[in-house]
Amino acid sequence: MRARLPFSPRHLALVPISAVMVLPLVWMLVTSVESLDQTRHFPPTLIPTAFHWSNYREAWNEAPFGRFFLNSVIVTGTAVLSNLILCSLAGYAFARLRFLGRELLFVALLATLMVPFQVIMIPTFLIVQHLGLVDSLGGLIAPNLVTPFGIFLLRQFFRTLPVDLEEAARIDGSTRLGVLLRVVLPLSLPALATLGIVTFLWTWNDFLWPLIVITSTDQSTVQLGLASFQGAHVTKWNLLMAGNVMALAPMLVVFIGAQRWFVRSLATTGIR
Amino acid sequence: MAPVVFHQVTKEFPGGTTAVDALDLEIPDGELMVLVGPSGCGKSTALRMIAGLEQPSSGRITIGERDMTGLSPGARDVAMVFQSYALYPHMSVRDNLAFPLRRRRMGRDEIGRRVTEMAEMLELGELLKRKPAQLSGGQRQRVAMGRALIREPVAFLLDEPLSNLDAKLRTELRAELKRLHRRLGTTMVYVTHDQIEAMTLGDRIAVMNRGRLQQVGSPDEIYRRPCNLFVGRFVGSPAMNLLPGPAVGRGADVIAGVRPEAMHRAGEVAGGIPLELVTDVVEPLGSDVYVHGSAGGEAVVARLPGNVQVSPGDRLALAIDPADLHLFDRETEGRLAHE
Repeated sequence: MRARLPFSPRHLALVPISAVMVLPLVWMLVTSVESLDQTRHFPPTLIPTAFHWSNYREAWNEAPFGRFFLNSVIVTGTAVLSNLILCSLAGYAFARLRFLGRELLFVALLATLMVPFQVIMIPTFLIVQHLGLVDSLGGLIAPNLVTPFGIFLLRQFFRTLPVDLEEAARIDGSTRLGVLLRVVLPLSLPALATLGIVTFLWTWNDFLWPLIVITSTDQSTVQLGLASFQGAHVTKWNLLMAGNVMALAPMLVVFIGAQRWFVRSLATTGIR
Repeated sequence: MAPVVFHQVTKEFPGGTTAVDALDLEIPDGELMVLVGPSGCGKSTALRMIAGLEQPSSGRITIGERDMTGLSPGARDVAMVFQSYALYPHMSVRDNLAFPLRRRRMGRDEIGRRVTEMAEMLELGELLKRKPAQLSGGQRQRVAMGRALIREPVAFLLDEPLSNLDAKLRTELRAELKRLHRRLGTTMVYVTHDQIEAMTLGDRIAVMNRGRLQQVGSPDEIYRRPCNLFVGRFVGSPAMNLLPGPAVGRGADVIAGVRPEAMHRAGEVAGGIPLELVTDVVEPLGSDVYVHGSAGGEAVVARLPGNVQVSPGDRLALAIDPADLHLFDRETEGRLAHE
């Protein structure tokens, strides 16, 4: 009997856990197609009887969602791209170049990973204000251009690559930068994919920082836009959930598309 | 093509280890020089300094007339084959071969021509589209050689290139390498810990130990006139037997080295020094038989003709031609002239 199962029977224990994980998502999807009255029903209906697809149109029109999406895409896209470039350069330097104070600098960098964002929120805001970037997309992008986590992740991955390859490339006439571009990065696609996804998720989902920096509607991101559905007295749950589903869609696409790389990379980096 | 010269080159690593200590070595143009020694003797560091992957702490290295101090690896016009082959895993064999040429901004047609030529020479024609992971060990080795040879470097560095192959392939490729060297006439520096490889390949051999050069010479010289105890023990298989001086009728301040094949049965050598061997283990190899045992209080191996009948426990009467003795000073371990 056991041999019939394509997995260990122990994994069956995960079924209820995954049900618990999936439930909120299902509820969100269901709520997004309900009428406002249905959303207030108790106990909540998990199997909808009527589909109010118009919720999506309404949610889209209620706020300038197109603008929010564009803003989010600009901020997230820039952050992903700049993280991939800058973390590669810094990670490579930490992994392979010998320079004075390297270890000390790296430890200092790691230490910043342990400081919660809430602690540096106000200083960061002051810096952004000083740069004149408050209430602009630049203010959202600047603090996210490079992350210690990204540098750490790529450094760990680069260190697992055989040094021989890089030495061979240098003897073959590559510069350090050439080695990074032509040998190290092509071999680091899994780690780069991971960093890309993680940066995407963080930046796309970030709510607190945009809430502090952005005040005008046309500079808002999707996450800020969603908050506008939550009034002080009345919350249009069905529209909020429809907006949520729309905000979630790009993330889901990215995640499913890159999942294979993602898992492989975390399994092969030094983080165990 | 160019001579490679070490002038008083020392390499110290942070933490105080001296990997190479005041190395003076001249490798003439077109020579195949083998650097050999036990692991950690500094041979690889010496090679990496020629390549520019390590910088000497003091001293200079010249290739041709050019002082290489401070030059980047890419500016030295040397090529290297790594023990791991270091083929770029994400590139096809063709791209691997073309890589050094592209870095030197060679024209597309010229690159194509050279890759085809090299593939033909090393019989890689059908493999050009494959990735390194799809090749056998021997094929990878060939591609690594090809990538080094393709740009016609002035010197060719090999870091234990055969040690990842099985014994049969190693012997084949060793001969192939020797033919290749004869055909190209390029200066080659070959690093190995395997003294047989060193003996069979090298025009000359440089034996190193603990960062210091022990002896440089032709394989024959190194074998017949080892300059000290270390070289005597390191070169030759099975290793040279060491006996206390009095066991062979010499002073107590002397250690006598005897090659296993210099031990003969008593009566075969006129005027031989007699020695009794108490047999412990017998290894028949067909043509020869290795007899392990003890003599003069030391463990000893004798290599006798294959037709000799010996059993463990036998007492064998042996004789050594005095001319075959290598005498070393017990204190300095240096070679002593025959008195």
